[in-house]
Amino acid sequence: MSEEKELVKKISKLSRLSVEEEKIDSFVKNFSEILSYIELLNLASEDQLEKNNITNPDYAKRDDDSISKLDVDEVLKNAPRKDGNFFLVKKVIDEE
Amino acid sequence: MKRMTIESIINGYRNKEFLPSEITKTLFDRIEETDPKLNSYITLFKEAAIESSKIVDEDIKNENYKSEVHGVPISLKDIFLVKNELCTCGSKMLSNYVSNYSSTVYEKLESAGAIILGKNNMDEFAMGSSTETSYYGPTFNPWDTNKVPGGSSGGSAAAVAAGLAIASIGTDTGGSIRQPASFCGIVGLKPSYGRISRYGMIAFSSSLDQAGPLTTSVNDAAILLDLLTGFDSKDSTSANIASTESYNILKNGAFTPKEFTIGVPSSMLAEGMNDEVNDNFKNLIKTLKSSGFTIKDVELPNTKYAVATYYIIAPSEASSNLSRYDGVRYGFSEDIKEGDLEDFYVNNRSKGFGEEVKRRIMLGTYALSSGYYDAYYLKAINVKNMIINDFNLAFKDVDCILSPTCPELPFNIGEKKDNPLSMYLSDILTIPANLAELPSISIPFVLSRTNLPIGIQLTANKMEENKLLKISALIENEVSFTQKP
Repeated sequence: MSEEKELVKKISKLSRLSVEEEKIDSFVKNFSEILSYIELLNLASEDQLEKNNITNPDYAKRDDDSISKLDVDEVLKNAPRKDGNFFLVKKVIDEE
Repeated sequence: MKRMTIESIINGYRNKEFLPSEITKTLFDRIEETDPKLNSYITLFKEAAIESSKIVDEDIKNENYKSEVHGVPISLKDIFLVKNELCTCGSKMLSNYVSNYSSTVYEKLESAGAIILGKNNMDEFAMGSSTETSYYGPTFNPWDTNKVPGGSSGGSAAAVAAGLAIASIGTDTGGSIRQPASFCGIVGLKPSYGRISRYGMIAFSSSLDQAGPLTTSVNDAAILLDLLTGFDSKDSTSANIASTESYNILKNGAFTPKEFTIGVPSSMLAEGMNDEVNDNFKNLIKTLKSSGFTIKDVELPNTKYAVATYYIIAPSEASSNLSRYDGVRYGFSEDIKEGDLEDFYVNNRSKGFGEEVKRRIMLGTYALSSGYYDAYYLKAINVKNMIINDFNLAFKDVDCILSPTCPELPFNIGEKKDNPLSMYLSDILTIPANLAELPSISIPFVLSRTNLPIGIQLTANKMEENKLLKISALIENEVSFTQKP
């Protein structure tokens, strides 16, 4: 269990999430069950995979023109903290 | 009151039997009376809807009909942005979010003269099959309030089934329109990927998400499909082809069962099927044979990997799409005294997202993380192509593929809450159509011994909505399911 718990903690850090301590054991259990189910994909025939290894999506292209129609006040309407035309965040540079 | 359809409402208007404001008021009265027991709405647009219904009254009196939904009260899953209105996506993260612009789906309904009643409850960020992950509490199934309505568009399905909206627009990423439609005894259509613009529809898994109607009849689904489809330059994945014109084709009715071959993927249906679902499905096949359809067995050998494939692709896209929620620009945000910017993000995301959303973000982060990308994401994309290939081969022989929509009956509230994997497997029959980008519909056909609806699913080749709806209309007529909760 502890190895799986370590993995969940590592992934939660990468995801910028934390799992509540009292829920961590059931979370780890469910997470591991899902990962083992997904291992089913390893049974998919490799020969067929080779043939199908073509992903050629038809990406749409458009002219590189700005099409934004929202003005700054509108965009800032939902901002939890703002200062003039800026979103306010915690200080990221030390003073030294 | 009789089962209301868009068609019956429109006929009523044209025959001067009633007015939009009367229907709208009736619906809000019913919502007030019934919705405390169902919890199918998150937000109601009562004042605006009543106001606009009075304006539409004048149009109807003057016989100035704009569209097939002019004056028809319709609801939206709370995933579609409507300017200046709340859009929560079923999450605490967006509990205070007011939309800055409107989705294309809303704008099309609005300009066609539909009356928007409000926004329906849903699983948080559309992640779930029971509408239990909503921050606003679960929606209850109108057929039996101990049961889930399905999900993630469970609020939409419950509202339409209970007569609290004439129709609703939901979204389907792995079955989120079809499975709740099946559990609530109504029609739910997921069009081909790219048919309906995703602009202003909150993203979960962008390569799979598709909007579609939940209605009480196949004709109503066709009406809304025709209205909502069409190219939208604001969605780069929207298909650059003309809107469907399926309602006219259905109204003409110049088609019979003899023209169509229906494929049944027997091997896919062999395992884990509820007995009652299975028996009823087998009886239906017999009925369809005797009514003139040709029935053929089809093989879809790789669909057994569909759920595993989906639970790599969808969470991977979700982990990327949901990285935007950090509490800086909008959404749930809390001041913290200790810690740096990263701690601030972690705090907002951890308190703003519920457990299922966290689980999916983490699954996706894992699948995309260094050293695992080839083994998971790339492999899943390859298997997705194998599944597409299976369907391409099958559609050389058959016009559409038929199965139950869900392998089981509507389950109890809370039954799968602690077992996410068993919740995921509830979508085993619906997920393949999302992976292969195919149009797929759920139609109610029978009630179980416990009086719960059972739905069948029909899937056609990409962009063949016309054919899908013709066959659906024939089967709907054959099974004549008219019960309501």
